[in-house]
Amino acid sequence: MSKRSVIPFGPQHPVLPEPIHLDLVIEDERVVEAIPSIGYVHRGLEKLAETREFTDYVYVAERICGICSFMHGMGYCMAVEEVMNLSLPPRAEYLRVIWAELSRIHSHLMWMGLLADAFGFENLFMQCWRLRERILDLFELTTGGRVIFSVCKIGGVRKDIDADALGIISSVLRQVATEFGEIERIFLGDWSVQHRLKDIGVLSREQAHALGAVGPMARSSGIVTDTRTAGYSVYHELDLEIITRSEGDCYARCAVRMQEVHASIDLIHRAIGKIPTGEIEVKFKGAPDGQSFVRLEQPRGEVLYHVRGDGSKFLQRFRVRTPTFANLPALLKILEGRSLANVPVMILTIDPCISCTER
Amino acid sequence: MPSEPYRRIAPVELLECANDMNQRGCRLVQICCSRTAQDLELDYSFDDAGRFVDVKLQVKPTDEITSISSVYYYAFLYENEIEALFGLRFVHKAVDFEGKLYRMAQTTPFARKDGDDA
Repeated sequence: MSKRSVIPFGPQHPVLPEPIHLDLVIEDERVVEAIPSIGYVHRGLEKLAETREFTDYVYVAERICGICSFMHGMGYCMAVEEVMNLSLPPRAEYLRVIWAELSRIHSHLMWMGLLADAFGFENLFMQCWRLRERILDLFELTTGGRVIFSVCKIGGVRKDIDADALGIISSVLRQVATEFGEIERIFLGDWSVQHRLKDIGVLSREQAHALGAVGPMARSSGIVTDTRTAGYSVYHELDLEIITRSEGDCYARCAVRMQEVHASIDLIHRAIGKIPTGEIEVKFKGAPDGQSFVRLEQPRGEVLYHVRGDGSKFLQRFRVRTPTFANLPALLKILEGRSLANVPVMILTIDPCISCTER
Repeated sequence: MPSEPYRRIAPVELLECANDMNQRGCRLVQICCSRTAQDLELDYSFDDAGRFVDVKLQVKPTDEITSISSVYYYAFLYENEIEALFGLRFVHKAVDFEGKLYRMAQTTPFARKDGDDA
């Protein structure tokens, strides 16, 4: 009879960028069960909303996570703007979309590098992060910051991107698309990478739906879902391509994210072509009195923001449900029955953002 | 994306509502808890083929709420989170962290404490 033992994975592990702990119950090197333990980076940011003025809280919201920083700020602002019935100038909406899609590109490139590092391909990790630097340079050019750039405010954005800078963004993204093609060729065509990703950590379409998976995790299992199709901001004016695959394995999750980089580059080009002139913010008075639910499509999937106000300058409640929180049950499912050696790669393919998860 | 109007149900209708949503193929988006003047309000949010549907329940902090993880397995995460933050008890959860989902210096930070305003 096989003997079961428990292997602790994390909270400190070379492949984990952030702390998460899993007790892996294994039998003959196969994972029988994974028991999660989270809470190492819980910072009480939702509670903090009760004691920070709602106009200032955007600086806290964008620090929920460094990778998804811009979209957290954007989502918070959208939730408050909906309660206050604020209608943003179109230029502000387009600027938000441009920065949001640049965030998606940089997030996916960062993840690709971490994945390559996880299966020992350090050169590929460095190439991905080298390319990511080009996107961070665009952030610095347009906002002054590389990671947390504080451009979202309630009512619009704080900075404009002039025509010259928009031209530079277009030019850089064309170069990035070309160089990214080479990285893509290695990820999707190299035998050693395929050996580590294909048929590993399969999540069927039915399982993905039953476990509430979102984002690339769901789309790689064949579920056609993308919160941007609801048409928030100005996404309804830009043709959106939803990337899906049906295999549901780690390779499919990688392929979906790589295609999404191309799709985001095209989306930014369209946004730059259509961005109107005009104001970048709308002035407002008063405080939020009511509640709203807003959903965005972050790089990792659907994120939900819930805001409640009572007319005072402090919110009654601010709630964030992040995509990694939604994908955790699916992660526990794909680990079952798999080899212990593949656990790091499978965990990374959900693109976990623990700071987002625990807030 | 404007929020759809919500639906209000009684706690005894919760499991039936969850079953109904599941039969329709809806995905559970999240479960959220908020403090109201005296009680707690639970929001169960669903995605019905892209349409956002929110169901509200008014409960007392001392109530025991039936878990919907028998219908939506992954609801256990949201229920454990609410239990850890608000102290609201959910029974028959698929996985029970016994109020210790997060490592916090202060237990149930969102629960009403003596001296709190309404």
